[in-house]
Amino acid sequence: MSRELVMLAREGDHDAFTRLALSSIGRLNAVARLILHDTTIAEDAVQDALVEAWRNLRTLRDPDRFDAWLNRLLVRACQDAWRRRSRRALVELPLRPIDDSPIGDVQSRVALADELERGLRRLTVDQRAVLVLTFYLDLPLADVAAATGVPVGTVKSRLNRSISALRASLEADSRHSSMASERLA
Amino acid sequence: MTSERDIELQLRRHLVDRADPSLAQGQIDRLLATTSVARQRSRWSGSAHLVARGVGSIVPRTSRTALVLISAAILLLLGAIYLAGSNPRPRPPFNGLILFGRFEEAAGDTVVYTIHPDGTGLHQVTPEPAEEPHWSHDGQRILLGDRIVSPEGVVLQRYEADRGTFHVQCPFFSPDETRLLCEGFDDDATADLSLHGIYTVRASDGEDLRRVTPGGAYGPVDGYAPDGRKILFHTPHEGAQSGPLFVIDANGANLRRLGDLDVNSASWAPDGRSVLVASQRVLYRVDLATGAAERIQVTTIPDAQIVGAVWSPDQTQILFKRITTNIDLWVINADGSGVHQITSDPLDERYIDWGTHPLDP
Repeated sequence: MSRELVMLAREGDHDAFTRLALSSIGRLNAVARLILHDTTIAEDAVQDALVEAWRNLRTLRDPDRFDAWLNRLLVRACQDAWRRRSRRALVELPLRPIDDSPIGDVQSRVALADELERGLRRLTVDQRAVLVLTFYLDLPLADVAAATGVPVGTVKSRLNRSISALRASLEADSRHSSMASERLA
Repeated sequence: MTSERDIELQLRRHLVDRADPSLAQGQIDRLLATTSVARQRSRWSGSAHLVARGVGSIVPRTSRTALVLISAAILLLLGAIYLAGSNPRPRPPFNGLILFGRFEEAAGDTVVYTIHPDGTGLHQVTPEPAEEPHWSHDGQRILLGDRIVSPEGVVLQRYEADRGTFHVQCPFFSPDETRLLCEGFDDDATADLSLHGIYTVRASDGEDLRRVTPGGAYGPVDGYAPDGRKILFHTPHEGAQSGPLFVIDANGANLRRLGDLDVNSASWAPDGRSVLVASQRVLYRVDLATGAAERIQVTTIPDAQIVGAVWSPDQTQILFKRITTNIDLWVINADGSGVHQITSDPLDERYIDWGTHPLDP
């Protein structure tokens, strides 16, 4: 991110904003898709965040905080988009039945990825946002707090609860797989 | 047993493996098409700060003596009223402070303010962001969804909004202030969506969750009737901001659609006999008994582009949100006359409520 580009865009230079958007949109897409687990809603959230960024760029006082500010707008857009979807629509997410999980050493990594994926889907959007910002973007706690709009203490507790929930989910799946193996034996 | 460290490592690898930064077809084109025609909001002008600070700092020194004399005269007058045994505070209903939320993009969140009905006395209520602020009926407390604060911003009570993955947001007091009216929803992907709906909780501690709407009914809640016997809500159509308006008894009986408009917002009239709604950016009064809609037009601005409105406590005026390049607050008399603008900030005003908290002297 170039400070000069942010300053130009802040003064209304649409070309500068276009370059900023192009340099950010891949990261925003990845983060929104990881948080929302729904490609369509994620694209809407990214669009909303970038449009809001353009409309309100003049209110950004410190150009060096552009990325952090954009993260905040994106998380907010993800929460809003998910809330709209939660309130107004029934969206069926394709969850694989637990008994379909691959069993065996060769497929263990695939199975683990599936289990992690199932565990992540069981978390709330707020919990997933904290995990994605922490473990995918590698943001420090203070920046995660700023992006999610909650105090650092809340970020820590969400992280702990999310990790515990994931671990419980993995262990439950592991027990289920073992029982399925025993039944097949 | 998988250690926390192992989980974190596996999760980090999983997120990196799964991350998909690819552009969707036409994504950039859509973005640029939108932003190329969207106006940038002007930089915060500071005018609101001037209003918030009052006029003292911009009054010439030569006028200050006169102000002091006038203030002394007002104090003497108030003292005389007090000594005469009169109550200087008017009896309700009277039109007190207006409460509203302003979406501040730099913070990425909504900040809550109070303001006088004439547009003076802007005051930020709390430093923390909040959603859907509403007055208590006596005008002494403000409900901010998950906490109650005084008009000065002191937190009086907090509620637990999250019950596992189930969230309860409570924007309204019941008229007797013993219950809070809430919207309940679950953002877990595998949640039972039939649990979504309108609920109430005990005001004293946020417990005793009780369901009002039947399974599958959901939407933004628009408040208790003034007598506390009915509840109003609307249900936006999928992907839309507006939808049909419903009324239901507070005990969950007699759910019915009110009128045939798709509304963006709705609020009770203080007499409880009608509902003020914004539909297709037009303001209507909908009769509670018949559902008939009567348009309310701003006399001097026929196409006012109204996106939300509430009555004043004495039902003589209407506070409304008008969208132009942004959303500002305006007030008209009940017959559509006497329009005046009370906010003119470049940011959007979001939630509005007009209470009975006395105006600052």
